[in-house]
Amino acid sequence: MRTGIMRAGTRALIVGLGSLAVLIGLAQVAVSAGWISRFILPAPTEIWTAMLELFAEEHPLQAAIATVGRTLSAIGLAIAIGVPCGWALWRYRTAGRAYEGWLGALFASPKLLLYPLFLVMMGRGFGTLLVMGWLTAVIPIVLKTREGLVSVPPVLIRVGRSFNLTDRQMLWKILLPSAAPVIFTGIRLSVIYTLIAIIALEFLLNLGGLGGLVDNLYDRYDIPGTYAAIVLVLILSIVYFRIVERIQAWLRSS
Amino acid sequence: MAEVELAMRIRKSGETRLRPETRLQIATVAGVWILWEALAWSGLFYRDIVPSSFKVIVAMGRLLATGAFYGHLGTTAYEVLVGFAIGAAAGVLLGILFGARPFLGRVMNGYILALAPAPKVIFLPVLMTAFGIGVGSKIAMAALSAFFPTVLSTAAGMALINPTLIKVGHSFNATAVQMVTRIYLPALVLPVISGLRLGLGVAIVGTLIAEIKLSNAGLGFIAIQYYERFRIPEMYAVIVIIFMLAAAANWLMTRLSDRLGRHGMPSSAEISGAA
Amino acid sequence: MKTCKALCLGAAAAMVALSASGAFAEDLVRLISNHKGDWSTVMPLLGEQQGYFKAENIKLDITWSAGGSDAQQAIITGAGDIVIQTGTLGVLSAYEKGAPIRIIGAAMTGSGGLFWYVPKDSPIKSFKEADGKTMGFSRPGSSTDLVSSALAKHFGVNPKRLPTGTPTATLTQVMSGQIDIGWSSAPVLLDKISSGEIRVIVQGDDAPDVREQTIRVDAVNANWLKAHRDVATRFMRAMWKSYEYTYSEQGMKDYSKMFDIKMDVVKAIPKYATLEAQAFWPIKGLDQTMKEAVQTKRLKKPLTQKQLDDLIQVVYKPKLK
Repeated sequence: MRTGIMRAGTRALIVGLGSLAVLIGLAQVAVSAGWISRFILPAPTEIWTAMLELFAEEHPLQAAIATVGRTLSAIGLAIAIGVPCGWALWRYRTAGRAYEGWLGALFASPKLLLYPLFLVMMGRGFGTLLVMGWLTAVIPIVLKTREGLVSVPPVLIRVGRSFNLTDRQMLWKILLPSAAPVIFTGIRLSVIYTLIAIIALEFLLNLGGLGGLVDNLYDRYDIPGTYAAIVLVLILSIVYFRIVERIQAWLRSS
Repeated sequence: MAEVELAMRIRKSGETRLRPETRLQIATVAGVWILWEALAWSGLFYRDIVPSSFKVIVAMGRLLATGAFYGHLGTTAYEVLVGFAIGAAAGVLLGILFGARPFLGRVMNGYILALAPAPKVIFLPVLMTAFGIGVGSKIAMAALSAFFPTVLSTAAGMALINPTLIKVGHSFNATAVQMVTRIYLPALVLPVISGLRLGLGVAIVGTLIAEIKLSNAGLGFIAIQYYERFRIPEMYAVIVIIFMLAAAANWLMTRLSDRLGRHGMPSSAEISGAA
Repeated sequence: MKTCKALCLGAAAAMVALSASGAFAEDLVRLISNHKGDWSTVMPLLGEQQGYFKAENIKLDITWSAGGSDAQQAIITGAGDIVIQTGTLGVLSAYEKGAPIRIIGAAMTGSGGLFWYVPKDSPIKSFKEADGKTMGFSRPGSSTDLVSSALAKHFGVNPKRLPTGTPTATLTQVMSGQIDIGWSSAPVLLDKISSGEIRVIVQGDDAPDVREQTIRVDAVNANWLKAHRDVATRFMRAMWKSYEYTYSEQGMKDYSKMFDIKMDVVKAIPKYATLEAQAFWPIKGLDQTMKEAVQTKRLKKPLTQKQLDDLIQVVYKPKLK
């Protein structure tokens, strides 16, 4: 049974990579023959050359680290503020009922469009990125923290009471550990959403990082370079996403 | 006796008609508004960066009174709805396909998960090149944005369908169309709605960003025009209108999904598609 | 059946003949313009209202870009026909890479429209005091980057130059004290100059090198130009009429009304952006521009004269009154 699934899994991988290779080959043919303008889609070989130039001249690794660093800062700040707020919304039920709907609506709202407002308020820099990243990250964390605490099984609370635990001990020994998986779901959501927002803002506002690199190359009218940088963004998001999945799996098992 | 008690209780609750959370909501709105006005008049920020709400309301009134505004609103609405329809339809159909054909699903899973967390705004130059600078590229952006949350949530939903249902369909020799309409879609309603909610949200953002970058119509276009002329209260007015419309759309979707029994936040699979 | 077919074919042939003869409606020109630098970029709008383009049998379809590569890319891919007020550096770069783009005229020579300012109570009284102060420009490799650098060199000062984005973003950074010297491009912020809120301490053209450089051009898709050269000529003729009109008293009134800008502010604009600076010909300072293009990685090496002759095809040379 197990080997059957494994073979299916690797078969899918092979087919997937194989078809990607075929697509790339087709693109190469189409562009070289002139069927597709190379100002719309450069030939894959050109993109590859541009990729090498990118690493030689533009320090994309540094840019990627900057992007990830900003994302993690925003998330860190969001956890620091969001978890206590989520707890407060659980502890004070009226507040929870009052704000849950708002937060849900805010979650789905086009927050990215607030960027001109923060831009004029905070200037073009790390501040704007941090605030907008934080805004994106904090909402799922607050909502999931509350949800996690709400779904703590009452029997656990009774057990805690029966041991005469103080409120503080209840929080740290019973409530938070029980709510942890849901809270981490919220953190995972914010981790993904925030990276997206940060890259988008870097791109739109030319604020450095990997997003800013794409924008710079496009501004320089280096189309193969722009595509190469976009590919790097895709690779970064794949790697980032996989790492986050791994961390969550590890936390679940421990 | 019980009726009298009940009547007394009803009369009592009639005196305090507002529930505590509603009172808190009103208090919060009032508090935030006061804080905002204080900031606006304080002079801490350069004039108009935090404009008084009165200025914004006046600007909104002027905006809503000009006929041209509705042209822009119509353009944006058209781009969003058409793009969303295309992207969501593709997402649902492909999600069903990937669920029904697991091997294909596994193959495509890699591609979709690779593209899903990337901010779609980065594909704007490509879309503009491929679909032109008019409504075409905005519709394409909306479709691209809406596609990922819907395909991910549909595929996830397919995995949760009771296999017996599928066997029943097969045992009746249902055609593909019949399988989709009678077996899959009815079972997928809740996950699909959830994905659609998210998809609409990102379709709106994508369309507006595209309008900001290159266009001659739409709400994003007029917002950036105001920004560049330093007409900040007017820009706030447009943004407030956009948020209100987005909230209305979200509320409609929530209503729909509530009626069908599901509420709360989308799953992480759907979120990762909402880039 | 046969008569029907014959009739249809005849009708089709007649249509083709008629359209070829130009008896049908005007030529459509898809124009891309910039949000930035409102004054220059809306002149075709004013001219269209006056019927100049219609008189040349042209129907204008204007799309507005946030500037930069998007506008240029639209021309190169054929989504648009003509782009006005686009950066020379970008066009040179695209041409070197083989893009089908041609220059049909200069759009802005010199940088009179660009200016740098301080808040009214700033201790900086003149640009000579800019040593060590922070000075803004839009983004690396832009004309504001190059001009601010040229100004610093010419005046012998060493400010700390930083990218601050658009004039709007820059203004708020200046007014909140994050930046000492901000930049803008007429007519943006002219109202704040006339109200005294800000003080101009240097203009782009104060550096002689800058004055002689064509920083923005009007460009077209090369294939479109080959097929519609006369349309391009008619377009530029109507454009020039639009320019002259906008600089007239009546034109300024139109502009003031259309954009809700006070007349005394509008009247100050020609001080910054003169009509002469926007003449389509000559295109100046290409050697300097190409040097900067190589410096900012937009060109691998300067274009040869042969390339320049191919690239630059000015279709209409206006006579300045």
